[in-house]
Amino acid sequence: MMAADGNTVLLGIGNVLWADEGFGPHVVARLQERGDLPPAVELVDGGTQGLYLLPLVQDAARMIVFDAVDFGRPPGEMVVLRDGAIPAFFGQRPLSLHQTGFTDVLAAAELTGRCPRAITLIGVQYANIETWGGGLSAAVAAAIDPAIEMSRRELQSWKEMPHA
Amino acid sequence: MTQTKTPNGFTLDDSGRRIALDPVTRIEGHMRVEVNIDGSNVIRNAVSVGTMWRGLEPIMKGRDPRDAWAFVQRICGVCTGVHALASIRAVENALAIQIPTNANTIRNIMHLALYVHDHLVHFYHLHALDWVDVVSALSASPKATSELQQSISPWPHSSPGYFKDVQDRVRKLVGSGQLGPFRNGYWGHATYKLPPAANLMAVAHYIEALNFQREIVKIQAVFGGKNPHPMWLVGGVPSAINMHATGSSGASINVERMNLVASVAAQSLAFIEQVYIPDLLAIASFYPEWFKHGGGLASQNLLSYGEFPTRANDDSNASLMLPRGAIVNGDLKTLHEVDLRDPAHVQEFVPHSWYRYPDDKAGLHPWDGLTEVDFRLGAKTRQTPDKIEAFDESAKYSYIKAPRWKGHAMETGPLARMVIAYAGGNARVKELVDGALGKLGLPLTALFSTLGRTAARGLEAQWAAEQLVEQVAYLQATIKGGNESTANTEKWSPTTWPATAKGVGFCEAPRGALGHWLHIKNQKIENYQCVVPTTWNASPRDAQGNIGAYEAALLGVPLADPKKPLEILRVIHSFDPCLACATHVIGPDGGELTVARVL
Repeated sequence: MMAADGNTVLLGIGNVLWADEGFGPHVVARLQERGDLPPAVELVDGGTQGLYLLPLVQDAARMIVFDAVDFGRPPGEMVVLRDGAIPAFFGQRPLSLHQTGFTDVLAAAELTGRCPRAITLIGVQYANIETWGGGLSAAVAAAIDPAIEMSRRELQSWKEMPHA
Repeated sequence: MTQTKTPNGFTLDDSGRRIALDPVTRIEGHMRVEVNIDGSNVIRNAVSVGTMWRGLEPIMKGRDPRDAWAFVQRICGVCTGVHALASIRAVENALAIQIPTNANTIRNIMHLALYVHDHLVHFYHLHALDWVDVVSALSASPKATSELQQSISPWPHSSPGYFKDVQDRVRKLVGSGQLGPFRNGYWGHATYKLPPAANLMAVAHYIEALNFQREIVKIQAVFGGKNPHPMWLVGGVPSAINMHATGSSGASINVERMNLVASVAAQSLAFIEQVYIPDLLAIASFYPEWFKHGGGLASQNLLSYGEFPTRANDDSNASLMLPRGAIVNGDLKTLHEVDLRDPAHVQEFVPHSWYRYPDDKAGLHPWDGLTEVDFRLGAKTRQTPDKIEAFDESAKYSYIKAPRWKGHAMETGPLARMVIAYAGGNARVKELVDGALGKLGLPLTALFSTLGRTAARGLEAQWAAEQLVEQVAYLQATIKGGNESTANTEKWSPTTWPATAKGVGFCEAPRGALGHWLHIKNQKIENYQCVVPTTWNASPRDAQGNIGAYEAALLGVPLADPKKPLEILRVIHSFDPCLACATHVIGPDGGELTVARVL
């Protein structure tokens, strides 16, 4: 499942055991069920693997990251950040350790001279990240499909997918 | 009374200034450390606080035991494989499921590859910057660095031009203000001792190790079908062997993939022999005092559950490559038997933990374990409406329970495993340990220290890479002999199970002894308890007042500057706590002095 050079990667990060923190992996699961992505797009549930995701980031030419975020907005609201704005955001307001870890992955990729040409974060404001074993809150679960739609538009802008 | 003596022989004095380091991790290692320092800034009291309830156990109840591994592997981002392995072993133990030889070998290969990977990442990316000053590396002469490199290792990346290039890249990163992994370091701290050339060499290898780790994970992907989150299977391994298959179709193991695994194993060993070990010895030689500080429990009590069965379904010490056992009171001549099923061996206590037992003074074996939260702060807690400045360690003060082996607080991890293997007569381990200590001119007892712990991890990485090469060759030979079986599905159907069963799964994770205990009732999980390595090492006090490994290791450590407690990071990081932690240092008046980052 290692990405070949030049791949586009859709990556969901977060902990599925912590309610809304599992938003990213839940998006990946939904995309897997649908099974309608072009073959050149790789789908990865990154969990909370931090630095262990480095090879994936190094090999990706373009990357979309799904994650729960805290922008102090109404639960379920979507936030899109691109390229240089991402590490700065995670660096200032890390929701949890996996985001600190992911900032380090991006910096490490840069240090090794191998990072994606384009990277987009599709974040969704969480409602609840405290309930152990809990699933997504209703507001965040409802944001999965819009987040997927947003990623399609992003892929189209990268010319990965034909226009509908 | 400010001075007390613990039953396990340590003197605590809480009269001095208190410093709190509060990480914000949400993973297994979510913890905080508080210390009291005397007038000379030497640590005289230490308090290890687990600040988050893991809460895993209740969510396991009612689940299918065959799926348990998939849930427990999400406990922690870094330790996924070890929880999965402990879980499937616990289920197999409960249901008396025998696994095929190939499954045992493949699990050994995946687990050995994890040791290599984890130890390498820990040394370079989580611990090295406690010893290596990145900013000093910018002033190094590339030529001097090249000479240093060539004097300690045949590693080919050693030209002045190569080090100049690395230096330029780091300078660019530092100059951009986006320090990335190098932010929040105590650069320029008085206790950094490496000359600039050694700093630059280590930074170059920091980057090389980042690039190299991508190779090692390929082993998990080959046998686990994917990475991250490789697949596991009760009764064996999920990947089928088909040496005649070609290409990358399905998840089967074929000739091409076995060759890839063999190649990665050989590269891993070369990297450890030519980069990791020479760096470890070079860095250690500049810090002799750290072979004295931070020993804590290490010179007394060490615990290992044992790992790497050479024979499938045999976890006796005759079969285990690294033995199971306990060393007590520093007596290296006696390796005590450890029985995870015996209710008197492993017990967890909660008088200082935020849990409720029917009898707070009594310990409970994990099979009878309870996870009922009881958050209460002691009367001497210092707090503002917003935050707690200092916990009261005379009362309950941690979400971590206090595990004890026959009543003893124990240290677990690579140091424990290497010393127990050494004491148990493992010839290769003895050779590696004696060789490294000989080069540094140190006695065996020097292992019982901060850098001893760090050195033991490096030597274990070398041992693991050697075994990895051998296990891959063994798997290839077994398959060539016609045995392609990887799973036993005889008891896959729950209808074959007894109405009730209980089991225990052991696993020596890279950072120490891990156990999963479970009860199965009517085909579902009735009770599930994990005792993880960090629980042993970061343990709070018990009913008798015995302190745990972190608490003991911090005692006597001098701080050059209490506002920049780099020394505390050195000690705690030497145990390989689970993940990165951001820390806050709080002054005596409760004001936040500085923010440290524990990498």
